[in-house]
Amino acid sequence: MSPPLLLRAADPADAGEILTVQRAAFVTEAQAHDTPHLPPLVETLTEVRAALTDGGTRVLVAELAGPRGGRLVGAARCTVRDGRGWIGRVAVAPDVAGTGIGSALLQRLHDDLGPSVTGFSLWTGGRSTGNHAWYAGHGYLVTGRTADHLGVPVVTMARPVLRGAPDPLASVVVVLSAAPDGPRPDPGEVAAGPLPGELARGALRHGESLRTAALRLAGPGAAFVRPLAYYRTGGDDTPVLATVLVRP
Amino acid sequence: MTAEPAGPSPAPAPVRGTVLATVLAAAFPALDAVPVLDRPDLVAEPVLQALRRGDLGDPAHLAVLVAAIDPALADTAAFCAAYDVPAERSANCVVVSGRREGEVRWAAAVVLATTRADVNGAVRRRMDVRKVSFGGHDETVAATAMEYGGITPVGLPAGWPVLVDSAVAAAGPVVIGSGVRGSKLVLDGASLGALPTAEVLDGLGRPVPAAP
Repeated sequence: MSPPLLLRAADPADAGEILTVQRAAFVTEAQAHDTPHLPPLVETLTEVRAALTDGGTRVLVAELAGPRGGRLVGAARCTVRDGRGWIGRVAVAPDVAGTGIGSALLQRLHDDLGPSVTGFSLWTGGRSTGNHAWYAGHGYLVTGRTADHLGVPVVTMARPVLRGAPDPLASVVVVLSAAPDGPRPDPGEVAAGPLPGELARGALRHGESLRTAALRLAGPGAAFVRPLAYYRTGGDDTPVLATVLVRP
Repeated sequence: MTAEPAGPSPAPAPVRGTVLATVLAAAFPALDAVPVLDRPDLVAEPVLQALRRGDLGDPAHLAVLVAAIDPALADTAAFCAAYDVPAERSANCVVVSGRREGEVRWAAAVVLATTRADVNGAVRRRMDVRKVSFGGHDETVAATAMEYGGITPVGLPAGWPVLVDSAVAAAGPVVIGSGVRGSKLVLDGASLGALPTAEVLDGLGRPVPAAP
C-alpha cells in the first residue's frame, strides 16, 4: 500500500525543497529540448520565494509520509489573471513520478480555483509529447505553438471550466473501462453512444472537473483509475466529454 | 541644445513622442503602457541610465513605453498568451559568450519570438569565436545587472555587440524586456538599431524547429 499523500498550500519555508524538486523534475524536459536554460531550471530561490508570497499565485505542494517524517515530492502553481488561471511549474520528484501525484496537484488547483476563473491555461515543451497527452487527459486542448525566450518550441494548452449552464450541466461524461492499449472510440461514436465497454454515463455537475466527474461516475473501486484520453464533441451548446479510464 | 525664443505665451510642456507613443500603446491594448521615463521605478537601473543618456534617442522625445506585468507570467509563452501579444510582436534578447585568446567575449542577439537566434552560425561568426554558449544565470546577472528572465538589449554593458535581426527592426511596435521580470518595454523595433553597438543583420533568427 502506498503511503498517504498530503496536499497543502506552500509556505515560504518550502521554497528550498520546491526548487530542488523542480530542478530534478525538469531535467528530462531539458534533455528533450537540448537546453539546460528552460525557465523552470533557471528560476532562483529568490524567485520561488517571490511566487510563494505573491498574492495572485496559488502554490501547492505534495508530501509523502516517510520513515523520517514528511517528504516534499511535488509542487504546482496557478496564477490568476483576468479571470484565467495560469498553471505552471508542475513538478514531481523523479522517483515517484507517474504515481498520480501530479494529477492530484493539478486536480486540487482545478477544484480550488475553478469556481473563480473562466478557464485554465498553461504552456509546456513542444517536444514533451508525454506532457501533451497527460494534460489532454486532464481536459486541456492544444491552443497554439510558439517558442520560449531561447527559441525552444512551446505548446500552449487551455481547458475551459464548464459551468454557467443549469445544474446539472448539459454535458455528458462517458467513462469506459478499457485496456491501456485497447481500442479508443472516435468522437463521433462518443456522441452517439452507448459504447462497447461503457462503464457509466452521466451529467457533469456545476463547478466539477471532468476528472472528478469521471471518478464519481465510475464509483468505488475506481480510485486508481487513470484517464487515458479526452474527447470533446457535439456542438458548443451541448458538449459531450469522454474520458477513457483503465482499471489497474 | 538651443534655447527656445521668448514668446508671448508660456512654452508648452514637453510631451514625449506623442504620436508614436500613442501608436505603440494602441498595438498592445492588454498592456497598460506608459512613457517609461514617467515610471523609472519599473525598469532595471542600467536600462534607466541608458534611456536617460539617450541610447534610444533624445530623452525629451522618447517613444519608449513601459508596462508593469505579473512576474509570475513573465515566461515568454505565458506572457504572450496572457497579455495578447502576438509572438511576431515580441522580441527576445539572448546573451551569449565565447572565448578568444583567453578573453571572454559577450554579445546579445535580439530576435522575434517566432524564431530562435542562430547562435552557432551568424552570432558565432560575428563574435569571431570558436564556440558560443548561452550565458549562465549567475554570470549573466552579474555582468548585466538585470534579472535573468528580463534581459533587454537596452543598457547592456558598454562594448557588447547587440545583434538585431532585421525582422525585429521591420516589425513595428514590439515588446522587449525591461531588465526586470515585472515589466516590459514597448518600442518601435527599428529604434533598437540606434543602440550604440547595434548591428542589424538579416537571417539572425531562424524559424523555430517544428515539434515532432
